[in-house]
Amino acid sequence: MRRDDIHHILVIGSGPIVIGQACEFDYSGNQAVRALKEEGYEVSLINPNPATVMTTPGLADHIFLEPLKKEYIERIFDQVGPDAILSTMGGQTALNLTMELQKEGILDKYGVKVIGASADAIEKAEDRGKFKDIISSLGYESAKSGIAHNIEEALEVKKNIPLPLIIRPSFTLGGMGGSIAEKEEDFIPLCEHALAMSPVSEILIEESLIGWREFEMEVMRDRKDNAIIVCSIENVDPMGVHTGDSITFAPIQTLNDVEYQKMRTASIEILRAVGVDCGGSNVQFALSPDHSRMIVIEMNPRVSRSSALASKATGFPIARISAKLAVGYTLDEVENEITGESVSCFEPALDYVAVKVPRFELEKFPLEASALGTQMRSVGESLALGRTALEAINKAFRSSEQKLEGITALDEKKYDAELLLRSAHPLRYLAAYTAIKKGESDLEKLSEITGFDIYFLSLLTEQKAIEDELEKGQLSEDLYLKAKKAGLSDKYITRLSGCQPPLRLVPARHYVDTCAGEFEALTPYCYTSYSEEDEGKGLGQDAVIIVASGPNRIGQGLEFDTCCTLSSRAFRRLGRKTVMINSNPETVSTDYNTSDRLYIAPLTAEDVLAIMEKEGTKDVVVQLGGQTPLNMAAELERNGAHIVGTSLESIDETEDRGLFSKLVKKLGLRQPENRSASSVEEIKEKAHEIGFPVLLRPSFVLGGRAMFIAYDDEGLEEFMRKPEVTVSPSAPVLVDQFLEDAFEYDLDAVSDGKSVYIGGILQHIEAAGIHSGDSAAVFPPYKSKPEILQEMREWTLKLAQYLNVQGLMNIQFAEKDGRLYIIEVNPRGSRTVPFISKSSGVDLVEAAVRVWQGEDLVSQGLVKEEGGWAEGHCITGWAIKEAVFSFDRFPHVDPALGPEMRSTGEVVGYGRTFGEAYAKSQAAAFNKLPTEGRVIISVNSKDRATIVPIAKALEEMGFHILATKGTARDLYSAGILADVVLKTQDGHPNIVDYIREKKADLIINTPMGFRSRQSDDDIRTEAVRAHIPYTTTTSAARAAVEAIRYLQENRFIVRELPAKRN
Amino acid sequence: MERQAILKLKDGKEFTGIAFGADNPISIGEAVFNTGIPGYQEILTDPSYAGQIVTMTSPMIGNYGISPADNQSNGIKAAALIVKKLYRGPVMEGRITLDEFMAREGITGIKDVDTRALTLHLRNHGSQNAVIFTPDHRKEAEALLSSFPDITERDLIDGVSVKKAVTNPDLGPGFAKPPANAKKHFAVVDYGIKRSIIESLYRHGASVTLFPHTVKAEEILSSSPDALFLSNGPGDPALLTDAVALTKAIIGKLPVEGICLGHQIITIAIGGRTEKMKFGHHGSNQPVRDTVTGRTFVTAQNHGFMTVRSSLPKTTEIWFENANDGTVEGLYDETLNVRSVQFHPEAAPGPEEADAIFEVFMEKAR
Repeated sequence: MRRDDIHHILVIGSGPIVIGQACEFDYSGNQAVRALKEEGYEVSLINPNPATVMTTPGLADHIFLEPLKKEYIERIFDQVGPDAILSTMGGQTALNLTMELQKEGILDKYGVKVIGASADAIEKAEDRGKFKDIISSLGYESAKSGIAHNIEEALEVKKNIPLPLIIRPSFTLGGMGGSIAEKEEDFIPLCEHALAMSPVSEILIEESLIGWREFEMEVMRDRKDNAIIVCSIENVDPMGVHTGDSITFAPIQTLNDVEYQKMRTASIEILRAVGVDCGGSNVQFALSPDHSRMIVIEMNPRVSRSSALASKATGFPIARISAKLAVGYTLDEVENEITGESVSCFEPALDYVAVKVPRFELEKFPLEASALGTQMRSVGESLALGRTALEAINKAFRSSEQKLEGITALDEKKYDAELLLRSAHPLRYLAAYTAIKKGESDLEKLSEITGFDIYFLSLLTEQKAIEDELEKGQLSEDLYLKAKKAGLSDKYITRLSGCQPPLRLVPARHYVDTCAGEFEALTPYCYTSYSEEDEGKGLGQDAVIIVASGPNRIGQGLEFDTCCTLSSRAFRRLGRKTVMINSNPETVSTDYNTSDRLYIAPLTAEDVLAIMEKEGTKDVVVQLGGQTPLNMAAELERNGAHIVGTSLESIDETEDRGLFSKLVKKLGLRQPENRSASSVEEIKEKAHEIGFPVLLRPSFVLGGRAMFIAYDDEGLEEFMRKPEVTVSPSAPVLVDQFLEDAFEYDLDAVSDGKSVYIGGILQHIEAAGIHSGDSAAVFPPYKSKPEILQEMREWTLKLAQYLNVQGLMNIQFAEKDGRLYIIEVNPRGSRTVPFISKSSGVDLVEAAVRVWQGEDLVSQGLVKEEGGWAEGHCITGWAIKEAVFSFDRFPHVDPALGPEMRSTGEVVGYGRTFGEAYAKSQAAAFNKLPTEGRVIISVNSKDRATIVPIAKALEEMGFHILATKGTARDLYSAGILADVVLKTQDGHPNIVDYIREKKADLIINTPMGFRSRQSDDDIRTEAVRAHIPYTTTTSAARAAVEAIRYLQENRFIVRELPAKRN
Repeated sequence: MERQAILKLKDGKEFTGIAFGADNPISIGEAVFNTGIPGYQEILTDPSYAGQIVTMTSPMIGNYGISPADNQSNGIKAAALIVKKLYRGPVMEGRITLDEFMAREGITGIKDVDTRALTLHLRNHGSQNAVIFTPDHRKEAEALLSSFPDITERDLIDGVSVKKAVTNPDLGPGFAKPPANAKKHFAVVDYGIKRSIIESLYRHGASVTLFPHTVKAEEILSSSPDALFLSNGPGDPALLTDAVALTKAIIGKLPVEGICLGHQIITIAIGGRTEKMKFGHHGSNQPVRDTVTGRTFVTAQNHGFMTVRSSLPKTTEIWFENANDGTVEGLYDETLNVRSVQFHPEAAPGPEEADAIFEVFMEKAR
């Protein structure tokens, strides 16, 4: 029954996207808010991530894009007075925050109840010791372990646990000093080493489960003790690889009923003992390869990435139902929306196989051979459904968009397959295939080496048989059919066989119905498979297909998915049916409620064309999902698709550098000097023509992959040495003039081809040369001349009219010495669209959809006169977007920022004053601005004048100023006394020493030019590691000063996001 | 060499596939589908599936092979098996492959079948007789199919019941032994009992005498058990007039308890009626609500017939009902001292959480 003792619920979001905490929490939060609204509760929401769907006005009653800090939550309690807090939807962040609020008595003070998971249950599940006690009291096994402070104690621990043993020093960063003792004689030396590494001389010795099989159960339990397993998941990668980094199958493939039921019963008993009685949890198990021992690893008493995956793999909406349970319902009271005639107290039965493949950023964050471990490293994932395991895994690999046409042997010129086979590496499964393809047939031996169950290796044998047959060079209808049923793409079949498909096959549409066909599905969640009977009918030509953005990667993530989701909603509001295609299970776009029909499918032209045919429609939206849909647009159009919005010719004209330069000239605009070079010699020649510094990049890239700034010939050579860089007449390298010290801008607009509505203009805080996705940006521009802004608007209108832009467009500008340059034009949805929409109160995606539906900007009321322009304004005063990084996961990677995007997420800070907005943006990004302490200032000669008022302000605010020699001298002449600190190359103690010893609280260091780049890099790297705020421009320094002023006032203002433009 | 095979339903719908297991030219039975994910071994060897061709909706079958300790009877009882994809790779030491097991047991399977389409067809058109044959036996197969009796006309019990009474049978490796000091003694009539039911009785402290289905009331009463227990089994309960007569004769003299077919026999014996369901409940995920406690749990089920709720006498209470479709899943009648469940508290395959039903059976035994 619905709880009537609570009326107003605060849902805590998970904040910015970081590795290990991604859009799955937007999906779950969004479902939760909707479920609670359905029940008539007042719902408030806190999440500073502006890219999310959940923070889009219209759903929650009160939306706060404020930092996830107890001070801000307390103000929300004050301001809108919720009487309950839902803690389980925002990942570990929300759980930790809830615990903090509980411990500090803030919840009691305001009379706020925790719903979802009680503080007690959270504590029992999260405290390793308590959890182990529960496991043993239930008669189950945990991994054996013990703590030692010296060798004697270590030997004592070893008596009870067999080798191999994992030895971990306590309190070291990122598992440093840890090792595995496999042999008797290694044990003592390794313990000695680990004891020495630990600052407290303490080590944890644990039984090694590396190589064991790993399983997960997604469980739900309610207050009446009803409990169900929503989904069972089997990891292909063995224990030792984080489940987020593993290839996984649902349902479990290799357990018989006795083994499966044992795990099922244990999971439910564990939830009962921990006290999870109104929500979902994930329980993880390890099983010895001979299945003789089952060990309970851990549980998470909240929705998670696994639960999002389980929801998409089964159709069972875990977050939605968790929210219902949190407000008092029981599983048997909640209807199964998918069938409409069954209840939610059942276990989904699957008649397909669901496979997830993680996606890594091996180019941006290179991994050593055995890099995978207990910390998650992948940035995204793709899901595929197939009627057989092989079909599903081939589709999942195709969906991961890593240039893999399914399971393929590794290029041994590039990879050491033998080494990878023995390593916890993302490519290990493909290394196993490489071995099998070359003739290895001893699966048992392979299983022992890799830890992959023989079942999963047998899939590879099956794949080899098909590939071998295809490679014979003849393609019969039967063979083609067999290959299609195995999930291979036409492209790959043709590549292997050298033959074109002998017949045209259209796949069958199947429904995900949670019940293996026992009931009719009402919910249109589909996948396709070959050579089976089709179910249902197409939606017809009234439907529009939206191609989403696929697995998250750096530069293409949540923002694009949000654009796709919002467009589907807008189309449906206008009465059009929508078909969403995506392969990313974490997203809101793959929620079965988002569109009239949802397909989980690889985002390739072949798959999209098949769905087009199934649905009987030609309209395809490709401008919202980032580069993925755009890359297939031409092929779609060639095959009869009608691309909704701006024409491909126009898109080409902006993406092709040569065409774009002509366009810029024709329209009388200005862009940085640019050339195109098709050989190494030419790169050099063109660079000298333009003059250094130059920006180098390959064509058709998103997120600035492989972009580089060269200051001299040496830099050019460094660029050419990058493995991903190739240069040829067909793949020329672009050589651009680099506008050092320029101000950069992002502009997002909607056009109907005649008029333009500019959502807003963002000005970057970071120095030019840093990728726009990595730079803090301010809306409205904080430091620009009106005539420059006017010029931007005029140029935008010219471009939109000339290109006949239909829908969204994003333009990047730079201003240097009072001159405006156009950097690039993207006639598509951009990363900043959700941010601008929210901050200006005008949903740009909806405006674009209306244009596509024939409603021009004048009739939408956005522009007064045809052929004119209008512009939105920031409805919160100031809105500052800050980038968030996941460098903590990669201790060996240089956290330097540059033209290549590295950030994984973003946050916003809103405020009436610039300082308030900037302070919040930093707090939300978990950057700690100081309110007292030491500031180190080291600026180049151009900045010596502008730094004076900043230093003065800091001094007045009570900071102690340190400066390098030149800066200190200039400050002295301006009347500011600063202690002198040495530059890195001038001896010790220098700036870096200060940072390492945490004797600095803020660093202002503007680039000294190319010659001292190394020293700048060192300072930045150390500052990032030590979590000390660091600014590279005087504008950022000024922003910090204003933010510190706000912080010193010690007021934590929270501002509700206005629903509409005021 | 792959053997082509055809599956034909009584209503004419055909599916093609590849034969595996035993090389029988024709296999016939009633086609039903089971939505359980693991558990094909228990299903194949469950005597309740006698006379039925089982379709597994789970597409990957054979993945973990066959373990010597997981059979629910002395061999495969289903008439044939239909799967989407048969796993052909190696299995763990000590196990054999499903293909080999089927061949040894003389049962044919058909793989690479569009089991999703078949399931939807059975859901929409009902369970019905079907035949699996090799292309060269089409004529005979079709003739057999058209004349083959419906499940409601087939007496399948005699083939799966014990021939002679046996006390505390040994269930084989992997199963529990009879209790050393039994708290109660159960007279169990074997209509095709699953080993796990006997095992559950053992585990809860009962000794068991297993009687053939032809047993007379006097024989049972003279063994002075604490309860009569009616087992699961195949086919239509309405045909089992002897079983009903036996039950009637015992009601009032002993507590009477039952599972599945046993529940249906009790239904008829106390004056109720059963009827054939469109496609039944076959799977490991059926939600069942305990009307006494209000708790719902997930159960294993396998039945094509059900108790008609309105036909039950006034004194009879509904113990359990299906949370999806409201059908009767269990009953008790204190005046008659009977209680029974339609689902399978012994699981195997399926969730174990209804095990407490056996405690009630024990407690209510005399």
